[in-house]
Amino acid sequence: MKKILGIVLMLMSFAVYSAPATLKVWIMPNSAAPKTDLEKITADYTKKTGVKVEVTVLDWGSAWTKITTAATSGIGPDVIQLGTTWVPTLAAMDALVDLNSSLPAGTDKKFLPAAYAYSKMVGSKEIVTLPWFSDVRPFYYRKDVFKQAGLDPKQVFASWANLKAATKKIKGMKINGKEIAPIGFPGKNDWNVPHFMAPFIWGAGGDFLSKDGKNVLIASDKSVKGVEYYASFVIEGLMPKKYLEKNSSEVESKFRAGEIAIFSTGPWITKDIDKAVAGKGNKGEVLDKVGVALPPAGPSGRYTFFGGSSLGVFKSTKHKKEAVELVKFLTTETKAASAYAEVTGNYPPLLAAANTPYITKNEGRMVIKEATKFGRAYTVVPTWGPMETILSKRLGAVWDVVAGISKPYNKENMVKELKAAEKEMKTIISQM
Amino acid sequence: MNKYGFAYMMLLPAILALVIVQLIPNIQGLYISFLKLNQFTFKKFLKAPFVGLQNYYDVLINPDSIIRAGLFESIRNSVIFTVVMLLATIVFGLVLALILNQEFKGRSLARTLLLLPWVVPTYIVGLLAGFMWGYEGIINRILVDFLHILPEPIYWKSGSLALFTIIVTTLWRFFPMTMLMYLAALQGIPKDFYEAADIDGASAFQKFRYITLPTLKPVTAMMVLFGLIQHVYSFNIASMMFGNGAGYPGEWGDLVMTNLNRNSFALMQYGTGGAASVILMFFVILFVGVWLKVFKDSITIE
Repeated sequence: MKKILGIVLMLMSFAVYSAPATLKVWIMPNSAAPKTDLEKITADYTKKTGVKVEVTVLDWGSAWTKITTAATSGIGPDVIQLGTTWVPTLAAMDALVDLNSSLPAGTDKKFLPAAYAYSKMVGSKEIVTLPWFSDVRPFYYRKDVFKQAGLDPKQVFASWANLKAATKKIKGMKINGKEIAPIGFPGKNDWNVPHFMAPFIWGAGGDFLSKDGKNVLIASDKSVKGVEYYASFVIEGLMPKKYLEKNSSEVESKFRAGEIAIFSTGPWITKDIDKAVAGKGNKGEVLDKVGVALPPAGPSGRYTFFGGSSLGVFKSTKHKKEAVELVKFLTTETKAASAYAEVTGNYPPLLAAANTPYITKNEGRMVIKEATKFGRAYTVVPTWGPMETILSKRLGAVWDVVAGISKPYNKENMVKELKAAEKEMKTIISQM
Repeated sequence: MNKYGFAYMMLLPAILALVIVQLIPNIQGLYISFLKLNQFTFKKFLKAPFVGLQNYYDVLINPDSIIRAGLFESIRNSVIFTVVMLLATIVFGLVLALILNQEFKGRSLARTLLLLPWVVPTYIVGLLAGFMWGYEGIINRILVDFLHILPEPIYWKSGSLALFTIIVTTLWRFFPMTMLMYLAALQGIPKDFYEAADIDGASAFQKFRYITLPTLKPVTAMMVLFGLIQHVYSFNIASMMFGNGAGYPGEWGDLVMTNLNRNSFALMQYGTGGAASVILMFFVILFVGVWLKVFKDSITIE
């Protein structure tokens, strides 16, 4: 009896070993139906390799906690989606597989440089993730407002002086009998706060950190100039103060409802513009009147903010080979990469995927393609996670100073907040 | 098995749960406060370098330490917040309980409606309050457009008014607790006491002072204790009102827990965060000690 049982168990265990692996993938809600949208794309992979893919969706709020818990406990998925600014922190925790040896030569040339920059840390040779989709932020403007004011978008965004003059012209203009805010940005209560300021800080020749990640530059003269220019829109009454206490989704809805003339956000608006132009837009929104423009060029150049997400493989995976192949499939196969960019409304960082009709036959997305030429990433150091927290807090405080709620605006107080950010960021660096 | 064996067996699951979920993490937290545990040593967890009292020095004395960013402002805010909350919930709760103790038409409906704030999770209260107190929020709309009390909207959530908004919101959410406790206690006072007082010719105020208040002293003692612990550790409402961790409520809106959460979790400074939490716990134990001394007589039943 025992012998038969033993043989049966052995046969069963062979069956388990030779069964195709199932890869566990964790993603965030990137699209309308996150789980099924991705599974449609991975179905191709399963057909080719026989490896099944099981998708779990985490919401952005709790994702960071769940991911760091998985990284430290060793109990987690095989493949993980990471916001680009989270990659260095996870890499420093030694949680991600080095993909270098599995990548064919020249893989780095297949991607947009600003997106690929997030795949490895400053000073390291390891490639810990591959870029999956990019959050490239062009500027959006109201075509009808510009027409009424006699403005040419190419001119308006060609220099800071032009942009300021344009907003002054729009101020006080009446569109359909109502005033419109020339420009709008969120001020606080949002992780996006540093992302919105970035093009202006970079445009002035400043930066948050030096390229080697060792020096803090947020309070340098050039960075202060950038922040000052950005803040001047509020001080000169060109941007309503009340937007400063809103977060980016609230300001975005104001823009979509037609209350703002110039705004900047991710590429997903282009999909809604397409829908609106086809007559299927949401009620109360005016996206059919919206055009896409490059970010304004500052004295030191024109820079487009690059965010987005990458895919990596956890070191604790039991199916390393299959997981790496899945990551390569989703990020380097043109069909898979462009399909996912399209369904999420983001921009594909894979250069080959930018030549599909989805991009080339769409006016707005061709502008975004142009904007990627000026793409710039944050300095990829492991301490960037905490740095973003400090920046969100201190740049939000800058807005409090600029809005002049408790006391009238004073440049000294604004610089004080930047210097406080500098001090806190320096302390984090000293812990490395 | 002696006669208490069965009782201990019944208690065992609860004790086990408390040990695993409360006691062990507390001791771990205490141990962590002596380690240099940050983003870079996190993988080692409890084997991170031992630094003795360095973290405590950073919290209390070191002027450059990150954990101190805004710490003393947040302590000031929390002290004001706790004191005002204790006074407000007790006074407000008592007044409402006295009213609800009288007979009047619609009393049951009133009691039910007044209990409703307690049912709403604090997370949601904070989220909604964040919108309501905004520049274009409903509170400004009512004050400016309907009641004409204010000439124009106020930025409630900025500057020193931020603490006021947190207090009002938390008061709305927490007053049903004190109201209910007082109501239950009031209903336990025998009617003969009041009748005897009437016979002796006592005024309403004297009845209140010499019969009602002394009977309510044990309840007040309990409310002070629970309120103290609840409001010192208040987190959900303040955090959600100002952007759910992404926001910074400003110098006047930061409470001790939102500050510590940002400086220890978001900035990944777990060692110093642990030390700050231990120091906070020490102060709460101190307050409870003071409470015990003051209310020693009230917590026994005559």
